[in-house]
Amino acid sequence: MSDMIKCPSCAENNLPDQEFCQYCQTRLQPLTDPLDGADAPIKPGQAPTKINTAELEPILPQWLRDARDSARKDDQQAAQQNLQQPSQPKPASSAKDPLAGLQSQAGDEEDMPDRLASITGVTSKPIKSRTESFAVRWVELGGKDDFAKDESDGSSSDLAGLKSSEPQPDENNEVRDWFRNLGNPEQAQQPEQSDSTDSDLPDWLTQMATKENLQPEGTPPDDSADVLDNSPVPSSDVPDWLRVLGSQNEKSKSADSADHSESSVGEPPAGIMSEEAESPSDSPKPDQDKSFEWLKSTVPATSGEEIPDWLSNDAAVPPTFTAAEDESAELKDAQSNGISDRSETVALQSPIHTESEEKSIEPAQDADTLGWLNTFQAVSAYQPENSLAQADFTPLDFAEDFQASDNMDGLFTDIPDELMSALEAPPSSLPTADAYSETIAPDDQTSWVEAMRSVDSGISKLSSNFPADQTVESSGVLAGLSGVLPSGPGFAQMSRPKAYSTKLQVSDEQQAQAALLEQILAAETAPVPIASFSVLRTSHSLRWFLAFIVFVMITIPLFMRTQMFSLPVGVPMDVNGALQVAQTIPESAPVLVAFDYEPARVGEMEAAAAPMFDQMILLRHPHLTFISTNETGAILVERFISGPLAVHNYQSGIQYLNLGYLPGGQMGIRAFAQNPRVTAPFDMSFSSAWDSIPLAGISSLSQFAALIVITDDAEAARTWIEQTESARGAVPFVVISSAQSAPMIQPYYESQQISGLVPGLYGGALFEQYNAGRPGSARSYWDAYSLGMLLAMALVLGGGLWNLALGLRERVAAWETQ
Amino acid sequence: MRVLTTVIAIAAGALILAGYFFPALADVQTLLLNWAIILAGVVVLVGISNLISVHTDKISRREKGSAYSALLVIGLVATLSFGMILRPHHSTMKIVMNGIIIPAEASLMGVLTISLLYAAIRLLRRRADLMGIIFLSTAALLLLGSATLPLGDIPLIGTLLRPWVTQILALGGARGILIGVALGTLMTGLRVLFGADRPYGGN
Repeated sequence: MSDMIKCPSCAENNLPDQEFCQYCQTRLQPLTDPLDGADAPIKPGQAPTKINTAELEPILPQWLRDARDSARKDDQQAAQQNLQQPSQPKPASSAKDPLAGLQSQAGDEEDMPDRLASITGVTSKPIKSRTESFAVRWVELGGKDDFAKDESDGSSSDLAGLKSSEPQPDENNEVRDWFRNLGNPEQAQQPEQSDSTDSDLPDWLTQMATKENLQPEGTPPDDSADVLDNSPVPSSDVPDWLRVLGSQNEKSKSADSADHSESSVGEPPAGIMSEEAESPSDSPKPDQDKSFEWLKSTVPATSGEEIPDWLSNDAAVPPTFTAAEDESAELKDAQSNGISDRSETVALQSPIHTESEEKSIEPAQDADTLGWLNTFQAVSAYQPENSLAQADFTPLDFAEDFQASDNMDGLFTDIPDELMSALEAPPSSLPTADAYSETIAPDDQTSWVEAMRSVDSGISKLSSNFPADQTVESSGVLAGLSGVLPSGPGFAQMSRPKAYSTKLQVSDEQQAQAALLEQILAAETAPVPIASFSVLRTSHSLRWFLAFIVFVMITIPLFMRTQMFSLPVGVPMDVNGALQVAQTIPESAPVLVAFDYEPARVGEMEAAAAPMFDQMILLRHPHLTFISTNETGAILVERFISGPLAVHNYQSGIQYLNLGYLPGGQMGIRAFAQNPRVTAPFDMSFSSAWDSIPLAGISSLSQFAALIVITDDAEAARTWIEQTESARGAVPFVVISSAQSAPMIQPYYESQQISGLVPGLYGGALFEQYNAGRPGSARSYWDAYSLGMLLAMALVLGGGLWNLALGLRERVAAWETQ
Repeated sequence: MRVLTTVIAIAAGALILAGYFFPALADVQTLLLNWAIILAGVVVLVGISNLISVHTDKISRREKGSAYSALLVIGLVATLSFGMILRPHHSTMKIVMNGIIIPAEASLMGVLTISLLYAAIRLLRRRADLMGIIFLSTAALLLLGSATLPLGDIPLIGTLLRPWVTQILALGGARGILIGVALGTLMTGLRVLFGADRPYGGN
């Protein structure tokens, strides 16, 4: 019979090997395997993991937040009430009590957990008798072995994980809403009831007694366990750990009952139990009877009645209890304090306990309900002294009658298992703080319970070091609790972490620098407008005007052969050098002349070269040898001989020789300078040039009397100068250039690489003055040249200033429009 | 092939350069330079042949302006024929030179004169900055200094400013340009000798 499994649905007994209920086909064996590995449950004694639950605060459900808010309000109200009732004694916390931090709140009647309130306050529920054997188990999801294992643990060890959560109503909500709702209808009546109760009795017992008084005659007394049984909430909604605890309590109760019979506890219930110890076999249900003997002793003999007499009494103070209080008042206070701290866990266990076999009525004693349970632990410390004093308790007279009543048994099923265990257990078997922590199977614990355990484990040690710490927690899941987290090393940083602003803290100077950097970057990327002007259209009229005026101003002097403008006076050094060469060459000496100018410059070049050649021919009658690196040079030579020098009647092959075109550019000049015979062996008539009269006896450049280059290109002059320098030796070198290229050739004269320079018409005019005005070509051009220069200068200045003014006006207009 | 051309180019340059320092290599230098002159003459012939072929293609395809191409080809062939047949000193060749080539190019110079004058007048309208003003002022000063008055040179300008500008400023600028040209030529020659530059097609 002890192995029978009770179906959670139909409450029928089944064989232990059956997987499904034979009556309702409900599964009796769990489908899941025990957890292992990372998911393995926390073993008893295992160091808890400290969890900063303050981070979870934003994600808490709204109902929990509301509950916490209400808890804070309750704290405030409690504080006000404490101020209003300074005479109400508060139990001193024990340094060794793991629930010491909760004492301050446990003393408040309003902070009584809803679960406990529901147990003590719910009324008008008929008590259903439970007479099944204790060996029959209620099965939810665990197997039989699970119960056996849990039974080995101390039934009160579950308080370790719950002790800190007791004063928090939000955690009551965490247990089950339906459980809380069951107690809510009674909460409104609690303040009135608490006022009418005796201060020496626990609140829950006082309330219960008061409610019994409020109930009409004949109404069966109600208790929380019965409420659980009769509530529409299915049993599956009861948490697993709660069911397990119920089973554990049943086991522990059955096991402890024998011990209780052998030892006496120095407290009023213990006195009752001591009486039980004298006749443990009187009752066919020893566990059931023993569990509530002390309470039965407090109740008048009401056998056969629905409502016990003692419950109908407004005083609600059993005489035996009063007697015990008279004998050991201090011990009673301590007991009441210890029990009050564990009331919540006891309340959670009570439904299972009720379903198992018993109904109980909590003794309403003291308003400080949570403190009485703590006393049991304290009592265990000095049990040897108290046991002797408590052994003299006399058994109650109505105990036997009370045992005979099933209904009364049902009433007592609401007595918390923890309380029953504490009462029935011998002093040596009272659970310690470590035993509490092993009661609840870790896998049955919810996250918030485990979180509370982690903190409590630390508190259990440190609270002894800081016993006077009653700081009220203001954040986290422990908000509203006082004295839970001692302000010691390692626990001083339990407050919410400092919130750092995500906004960048920038000073004014940094902002100014950032703005400057932005401006620089913007200036780098911004397009720079290019100063553009309106397209200046070509003025054809101006062009025609210029062409006309220049043509007229130049052609008129040319055709009129005027000589208004005087020739330049003064001979520059370069021109003087050329003049010296022309005058110093030997008579009939060979002179090499290079014709390297374009036909377009023939007018200027002939006018510049003619005076010098005219003077040389007149003075020295040189033999001229012409060569050209320009394709048209050979023809220009013939033009020059037959043009400005026609008066001298030079004959080709006799007085002069035209070697024609010298190809190769610089290389041709270099080759000609090194070996003229090889490079230019023939003249224009394909005759042997070096056998002719002008070149008789000449085989190199150094044998020429003078070297004259007529060019309009500075590059050609540079080539001739540079490439022939080593070959010509000390032969005079004169360059007759155009006015355009003269500045580029001038450095060679300054460096003495050439002997003289005749720059354009200006040089020819100078040279012509020293040639008695011959041939006069420079003079014929000079008026037109001077007039054209003055006209050009006037046009450039006048036109430039005019256009400058126009341009400025346009820019001003453009700026104004912008 | 690239290696061969590079070797030929570097060897020719090295031999000609060595001819300046070693008289024994002067004949080799002269030989190479004569080859270069012959090749340059041939290049002129090749250029003339290419000019004739391009314009004859335009004439054959009757492209726009083919009449000018025909005129160019006719003038080229006629001048070549007259020169080869009559020789350059023939009177006909003088007429061709004096009647066609010189007036045509001289007229271009005249147009250039008007264009330059026009540009100088309009310069300050487009670019009225300091450099433009200096440019025009210098040009006007040289024009004025190059001319003479009926009574002689323009005082101070023709006798002092113009010579100073041409002999000092222009001379200094021209010398700097010539030095730069010389350095550039030297570097170009060295790069060709070392094979860094291969203008002959060796990349």
